[in-house]
Amino acid sequence: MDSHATVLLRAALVLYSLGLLDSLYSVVRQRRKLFKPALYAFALGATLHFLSLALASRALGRFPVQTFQQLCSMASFFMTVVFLAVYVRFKYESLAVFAVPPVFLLALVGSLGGPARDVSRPVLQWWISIHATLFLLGYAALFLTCVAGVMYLIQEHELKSKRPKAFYYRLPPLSKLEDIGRVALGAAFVLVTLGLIAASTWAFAKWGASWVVDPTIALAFLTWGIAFTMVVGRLAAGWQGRKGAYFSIAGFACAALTWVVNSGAHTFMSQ
Amino acid sequence: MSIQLIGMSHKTAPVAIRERLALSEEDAVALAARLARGPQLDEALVLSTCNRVEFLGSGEPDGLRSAVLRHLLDHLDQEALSEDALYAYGERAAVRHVFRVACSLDSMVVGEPQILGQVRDAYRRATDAGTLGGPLGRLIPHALRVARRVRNETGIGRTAVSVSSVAVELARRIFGELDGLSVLLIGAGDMAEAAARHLQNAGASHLYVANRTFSSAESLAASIAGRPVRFERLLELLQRVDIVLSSTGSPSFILTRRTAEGVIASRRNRPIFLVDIAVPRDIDPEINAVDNMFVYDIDDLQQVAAANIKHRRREAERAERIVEDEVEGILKRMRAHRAAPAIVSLNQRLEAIRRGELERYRSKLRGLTAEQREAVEALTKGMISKIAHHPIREAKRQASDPRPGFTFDDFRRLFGLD
Repeated sequence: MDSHATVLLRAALVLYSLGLLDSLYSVVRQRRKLFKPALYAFALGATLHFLSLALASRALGRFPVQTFQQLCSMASFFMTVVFLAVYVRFKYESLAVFAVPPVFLLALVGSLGGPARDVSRPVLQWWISIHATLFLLGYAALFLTCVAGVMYLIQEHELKSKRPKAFYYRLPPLSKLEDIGRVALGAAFVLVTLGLIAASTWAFAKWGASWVVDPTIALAFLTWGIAFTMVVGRLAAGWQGRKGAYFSIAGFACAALTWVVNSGAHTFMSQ
Repeated sequence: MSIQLIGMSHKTAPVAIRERLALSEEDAVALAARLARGPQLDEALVLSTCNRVEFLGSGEPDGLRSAVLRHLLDHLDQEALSEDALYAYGERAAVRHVFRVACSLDSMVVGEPQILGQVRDAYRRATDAGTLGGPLGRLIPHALRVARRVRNETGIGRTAVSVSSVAVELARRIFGELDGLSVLLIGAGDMAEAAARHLQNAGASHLYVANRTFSSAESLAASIAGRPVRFERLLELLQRVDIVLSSTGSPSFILTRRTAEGVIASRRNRPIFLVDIAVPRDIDPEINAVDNMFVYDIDDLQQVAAANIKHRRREAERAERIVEDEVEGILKRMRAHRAAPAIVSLNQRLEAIRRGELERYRSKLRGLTAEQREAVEALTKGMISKIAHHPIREAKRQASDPRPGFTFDDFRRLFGLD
């Protein structure tokens, strides 16, 4: 990665961590006004992160999604963007406490990569950038459904136990967590579907059917399958509440597994 | 001039004594006006609510005590006067008490919001009657600001502590906003009716009333703007409504787990909140284990209320710290304010000397150009500002942190300000 890009990413990392600390404090102390600096820190962090990615792209001449670190950095950027979009729509500060720690960890891993190097994979062309962007955005949205699912389970447990503890007073109502999960799932499904269509159309044209046997591809399809099942389950079978939350978490876990296995590029590409 | 407070509250006197001192709004204003007109006080305010009667004043030290004594003797017997029913605070303690009252830290239910409105109304009436205008007149609006700060920065008023308001709070934790939600009231009980009214006030718009005796359902529905439904339609309604309040006299469950599982399936898992206020219970508590069904009986509601009270207590501790901060701040400002008349007099005196001297030399300065005259103005103004700087700083310091051996009378004598 370009040295300026690294500096910008590290600055973004500092802002994410400051924002996280401030959001933790404001949520624990239940002081909504104190969340504002955290929000500015996240927004400024995301801006610096974007500039870092733009510089890295310029240095590479293509989208920086080749190495594991680059993918981590890109994923954390998209997760921040999705988190900020969801916050603007729903205004629940406690989301930050659950959503930002993984963002911070991914950005941290991303910042550990050295300056950008062209690893010269044969087929990393513009289409893969679109494929990766759509998938990473989809993963970010799935991550939010997972966060909403975890928060739902905690708040539901508080309500079912009838002994309100700290979370009861700090987490959003169940219906709002359902809304966040539903909106994020809808977005994730559209993005993953488009990403899969783009990638498979191109891959068929390039390699014929040989790529289908790639195990990571099977996992990618499994992710899409889970997202599809979740959408259908919610729409047709009325999966709400605990069941919906479990599926959101399972869906994201599967997507994360696919992503970790896939990080870098698929095996068939080097054939 | 000092701020003083004398009063009695639910903490120091039973209602049998408090009611003897209680005043109507008009009488409270009239009494405050009488107190403020008296020789001992410059300002007065009387706060009379169902939980407290308090007299506030600013003026001579102990001025309030002598001013209020007549009124107290007229209304309280010797026994009430000697039973520690009354408290009297001066300066710091009085300021702290006013802040604590406005912040609802001294209320029977800590965090209840009514007291803020009562203090605001008492202040408005006293201002209209012209009984404020000095430090007390500045203290009350400040107390209202402190109360707002406490509401914003702590969770003191955010949780419900009565059973019926706990039901509304729980409904909000499940459904978010209650606008447009439908409620089914089964049976007739005062508490269920109160909870239904709370839910209506919170936005629930469709209220159904079911009773084994249809005429009872009709009369209750009429009194709470609901719709009466026949008891046989219960199952059908359970599939539609969002919140159920049950308080029948049935000796056994009217809703079992098996029925509830069928209900939630036909609702396509749409959540439902079941509040069972009946004893013996109407709703099988096992239903709480079913996904998307939340069952609370009377003990559960009371348990949440108790947890909320505990939560409020923790928040109240934070509120007390804010109050201490604010007391310190306003006392500092009030003390600094005491230096203001002396500082204004000093500035006026020096300016008068400057103008007098310029006037005396006017004929000699006539030959100066406009530019030179401006320079003389600036020079003389600069001189008096430099001369005044140190005494003003000392006066302010003395006001905020008084040291023995220095009085503002000395200050005035020193500069010939009288």
